[in-house]
Amino acid sequence: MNACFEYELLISQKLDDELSESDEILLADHLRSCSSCRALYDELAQIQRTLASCSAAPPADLSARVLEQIKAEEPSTEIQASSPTPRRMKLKWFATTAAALLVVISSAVLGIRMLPSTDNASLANDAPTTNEKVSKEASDSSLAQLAELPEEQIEEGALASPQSENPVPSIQKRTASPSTQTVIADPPPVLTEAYGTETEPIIPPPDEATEERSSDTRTLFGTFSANDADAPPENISSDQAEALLIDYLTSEEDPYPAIVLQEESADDTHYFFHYADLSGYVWCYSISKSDGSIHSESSTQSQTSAHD
Amino acid sequence: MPSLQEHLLVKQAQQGSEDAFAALMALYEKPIYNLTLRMSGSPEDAEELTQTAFLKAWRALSGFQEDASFFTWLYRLATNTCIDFIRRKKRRAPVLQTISLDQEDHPTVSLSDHRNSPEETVFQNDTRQTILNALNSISQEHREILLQREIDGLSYQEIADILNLELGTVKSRIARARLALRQVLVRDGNFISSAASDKVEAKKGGGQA
Repeated sequence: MNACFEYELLISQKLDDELSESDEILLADHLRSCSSCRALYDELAQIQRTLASCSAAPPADLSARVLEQIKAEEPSTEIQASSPTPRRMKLKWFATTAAALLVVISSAVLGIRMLPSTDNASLANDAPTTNEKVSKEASDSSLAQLAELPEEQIEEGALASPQSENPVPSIQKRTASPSTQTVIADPPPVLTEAYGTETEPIIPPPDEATEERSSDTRTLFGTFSANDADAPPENISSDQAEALLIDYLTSEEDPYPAIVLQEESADDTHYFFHYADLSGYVWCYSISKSDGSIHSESSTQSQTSAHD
Repeated sequence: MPSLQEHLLVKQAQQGSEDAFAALMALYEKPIYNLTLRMSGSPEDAEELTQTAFLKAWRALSGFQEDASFFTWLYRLATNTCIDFIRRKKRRAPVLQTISLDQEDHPTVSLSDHRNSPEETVFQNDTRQTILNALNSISQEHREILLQREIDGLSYQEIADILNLELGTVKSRIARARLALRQVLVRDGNFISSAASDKVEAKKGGGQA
């Protein structure tokens, strides 16, 4: 005996509690009289239970940790209300300096590694909106965490930082802060005084252009020009092409981003990228080397879907 | 997850309410964590990626348009974070060996039992491993939608938003995915169910369910 295929969809929906009332009744009636369908339901339910048991629970303190980092970035009203005493400032100075030195030293090292424009361009888009402020998120989470650690202390040690008065805009400013560029570019005020460079502002106001921000990396050791986008390049690099493509893919036109880069190739005039997305399609894009224009080639169903 | 509730929480969070954001995290940390776990292959990376995704979401809240689905936006943000991570790490083999790539570079899921509770019977572990192995035999499309439904715990509507499909397509695709998975299990004689073993006998003579 085979289960009745016209009830398969209803059975599946029942497993997800997504049946309308009338369908519930319809299915219940049928299951009463059809043992094959009952068996199918039981089997699918067993599969479901097993799969559900594979579902992982995130660590219990995960969101707490996120909140900690959020709170650390926001100047709390507590600090805002009471002006830091000189003693507290001094203690914070040590902590800040030590952390800042660590940041500066490591960022100088990292700053050198940040030279390839790849990183700058690829830092561009993680949030899937076209909002420019949003587009400057640091995508390197480990570097971002390195950047975040001293930031907390910088915030606390700073006197009357401008952000403290308006929490809402400060969220926007925070957008810029975790990027590694910021940390590299802006040593805390204490150290900058010592070394005589600019002190204002701690968090630079977000500019609109990613390229602008990423073009210069200011460290205590000098300025690295990390992006030759100032002079119009003859050909874009494959990393730049890929970054443009990611930008395009995560824009509003394409609501779902590709997942895995399958293949990269190039000819004299174009780069070619093949991406597979979650639904199994393979998307092929060509990007002109000269002007970075993007063309979508045919998209094909991935072959594995035929293996069903 | 009523979207009205989400909408209100998002509004409050946009105005700076950390509590509202905490509530949003409580709602969505499980699917996001499972997504990052599936894509990164290791719990440590998944933790970090999930935290990063939420932090980015917090910072980017001001740019989020109210009329869109916050969860879809968050899910895509997390996906993008994972893509960057994967690309940078070039998909090194994770310690717990959970993700491998098939010939076409699709992540195939072999979620090992990383929770490893000793109380679980060997029987249960075998079942889980059997089904997970079978997952690799169904199509990429079916596998992903099934995992989003069963492991990420996404609703039909959320899946429809994320995959940009019609609701009806989501429903039927999930049903087909389940049937495909079951078919693999039955075919391999692996199904631990008396009903299935009867069916295996019957199948030798007949068509499929």
